[in-house]
Amino acid sequence: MKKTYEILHNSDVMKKAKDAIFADRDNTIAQHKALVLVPAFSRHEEKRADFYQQLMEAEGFESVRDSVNNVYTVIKGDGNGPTLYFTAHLDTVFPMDTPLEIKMNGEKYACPGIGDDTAALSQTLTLLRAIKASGIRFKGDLIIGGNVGEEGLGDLYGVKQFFKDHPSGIDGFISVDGFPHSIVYGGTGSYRYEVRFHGAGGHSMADFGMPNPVHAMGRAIAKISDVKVPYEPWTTFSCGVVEGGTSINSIAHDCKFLLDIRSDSKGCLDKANEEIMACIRAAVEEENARWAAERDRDEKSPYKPGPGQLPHADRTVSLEIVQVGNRPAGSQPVDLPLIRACAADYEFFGYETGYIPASSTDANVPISLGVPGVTLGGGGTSTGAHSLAEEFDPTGLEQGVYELFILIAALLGVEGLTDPLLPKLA
Amino acid sequence: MNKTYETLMASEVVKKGLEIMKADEAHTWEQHQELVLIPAFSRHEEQRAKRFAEMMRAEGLDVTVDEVNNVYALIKGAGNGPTVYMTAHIDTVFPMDTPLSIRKEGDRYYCPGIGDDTAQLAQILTLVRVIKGSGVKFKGDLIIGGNVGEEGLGDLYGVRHFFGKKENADMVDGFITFDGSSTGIVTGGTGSYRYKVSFKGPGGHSYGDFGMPNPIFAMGRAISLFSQMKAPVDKKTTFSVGVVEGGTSVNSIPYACSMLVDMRSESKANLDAEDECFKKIIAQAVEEENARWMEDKELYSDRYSKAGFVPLCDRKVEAVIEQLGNRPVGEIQPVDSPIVKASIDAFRAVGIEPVMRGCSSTDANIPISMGIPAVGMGGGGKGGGAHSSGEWFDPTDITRNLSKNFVLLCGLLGVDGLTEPLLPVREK
Repeated sequence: MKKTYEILHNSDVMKKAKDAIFADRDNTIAQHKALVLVPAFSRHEEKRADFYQQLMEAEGFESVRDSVNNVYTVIKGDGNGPTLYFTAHLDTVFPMDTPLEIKMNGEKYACPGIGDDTAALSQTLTLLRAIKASGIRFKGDLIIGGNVGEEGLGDLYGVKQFFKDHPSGIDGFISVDGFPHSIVYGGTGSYRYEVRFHGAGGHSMADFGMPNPVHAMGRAIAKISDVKVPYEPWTTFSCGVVEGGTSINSIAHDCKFLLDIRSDSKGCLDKANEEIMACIRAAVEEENARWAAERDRDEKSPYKPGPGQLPHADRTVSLEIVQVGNRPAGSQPVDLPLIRACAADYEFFGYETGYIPASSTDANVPISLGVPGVTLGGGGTSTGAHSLAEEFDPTGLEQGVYELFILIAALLGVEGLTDPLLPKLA
Repeated sequence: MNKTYETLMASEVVKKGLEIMKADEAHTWEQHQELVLIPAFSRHEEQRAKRFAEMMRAEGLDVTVDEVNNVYALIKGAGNGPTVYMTAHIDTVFPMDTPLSIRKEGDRYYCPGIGDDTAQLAQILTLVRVIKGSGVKFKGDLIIGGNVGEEGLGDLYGVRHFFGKKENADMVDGFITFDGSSTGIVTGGTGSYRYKVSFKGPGGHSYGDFGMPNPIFAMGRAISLFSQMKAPVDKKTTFSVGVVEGGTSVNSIPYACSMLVDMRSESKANLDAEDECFKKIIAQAVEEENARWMEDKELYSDRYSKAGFVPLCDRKVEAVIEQLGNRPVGEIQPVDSPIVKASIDAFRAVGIEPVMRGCSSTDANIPISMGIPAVGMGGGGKGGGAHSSGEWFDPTDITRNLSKNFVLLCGLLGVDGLTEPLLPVREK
């Protein structure tokens, strides 16, 4: 693999590309600054997608806008190579009314979203200009652009849609959304739920004997807290938020908790999920059964109904489970050609590769579908992601973009120079 | 009819008293309307208490306003009789910024607090005028007035404060809380303990910090154990977690959560047993949650290899229990106990068949729990919608249900030259 990088790095076409990238710095930063000022909260990416699409078209590339606002262009190769989908995400974690203003902090730019992932998004346009300026001809096809819905409640819906629209024909996936010289090669899957308990509600004393939604919820959480999960692959669960009830002397009508289950393995995620769902259902049954048993215990039970009254015990607690997140888990061998090619790129330029076995990124989707996928870092470094104090340091920006360019070239193969490092999937 | 009441009802002094009461209805209603417009949220009764004290003084009484704004006056008897403390509560459930205005619809007047318990507070003044105007001379002493802190977070602090003084507790032989406008008699006090339990831990990321004790898990364990507690049925005993809250996001281990707990009983033994069980449960739940993650310590040990890193399982959860309410149980008094019997007979003497209400949570909880005979009963007029913004009062014929209060005082205390007291002097 090192040979491929040597050949490419020393080629005329790559020198032209490199010169173009290095000469493009001001333009890249200008577009980066323009993009970051267009708000793009997850599931509200339309305006930024419009603007990004205009910028792409302005470079002379024919763009595709899919049903969910993913934007990309297809650069056809000579038909003898694999297809790579290369993308940065359009959305940010910041709600649409977040004030956006760029401030300078020395050499660094500060603005919500400036790093994650607007930096990489602007660099996809730099890559397009370098492709045009160098006149490079790849063997494989490159699909390059920006996608929606990576963050939070976006729940990866952009990349999920892309792979729904492309059930076959994609041989590799790169999301640029991480630390420089790192490779995320596994997807931590997660299921998230809002678990709601409903009951008739009433007075704490007068209606005593009525199944209590808060009690049912407590039983559920107690059971969940004793669930056993494997250490390897890493599997976790948490109840992050509880709320419910209106006053101390009432039996609540409603209460709920938020549940987060994660695993680096789909099998373990599904197993934990199944066990936890069983805990919740059993808890509701137990709370309802307790008061039915009190009612039926004997003739003198005070929990029997009065005339014309529905027995308290029959005002049962019901359960409603709403899934609010579903990120598929996936793992793949670390020695896949795609992963080795990324590491070889970093190492060719003298960097040590930071391997990250699992994280929750857009690469979860292809990995879970059996398509090799990674999440990498781009040019420059950012800090304070997801915070209002987010910053981007453009030091080394051009070099980072050039490393991405040569990686794409190595993976797809270049006419007259190298064969693709990325195999076509069977 | 009971002999004592027969004598009383036939007497000139009682007849005169009831005539005065009837003639005073408009005056009563006027004072009632003035008082209801003075906000008096529990523990914020000062302003209304001050005005009420002025009204008492205007009737020529020597009025005491105690440290917590209970207002009362002593009407001395001829001697050789018991001491009765009769009081209506000054406070309402409505916060100080609740808009207060009186709106009339048909025979009903709407205003927050107009029934509970401002109606009876105004009628205390009526009773004072009736006693003074009729010239009745009781044998026993009467302490009469208004007290603070009956509602909600007031937690009975007014009456608790009064009986907290030994000289008061020793002096009083019978207590009447004058609350509501029903024709019921409350003869026992439902006790309640209320708590806020807070669970705290360091908190962290749901995925990265997994293996750390979780406050919501600890709380869930506590609620689960609590919901499986025994519910004695000999005397009604109840428990409920009414409110839960805590945590900030789905992908966190929260650093704090809390729950509000309400336990009640008509039996002190049951309530205390329940309370003890509750406290054990909280300790047990915290212990179990902290212990559960210790089980995985070895498994996760390589994650703890970093120097100076506190293992996640050692970042413990703790619970803090804060008592929000404490109303003592007043075990139900037998129907043939002198104060209960005298109350029933007083209702009957004025032609009303009372409803025996048994246990309730009222100011009477405090004296009953101390072994001082006590009852709760309402006053004149009709009302509804207590504790709601739609609270109403109809002042038509206040005298009908108020007359028994005057008659009851005469019966309990005895009237000089006429009847012996129905209420015995307690052995002290």
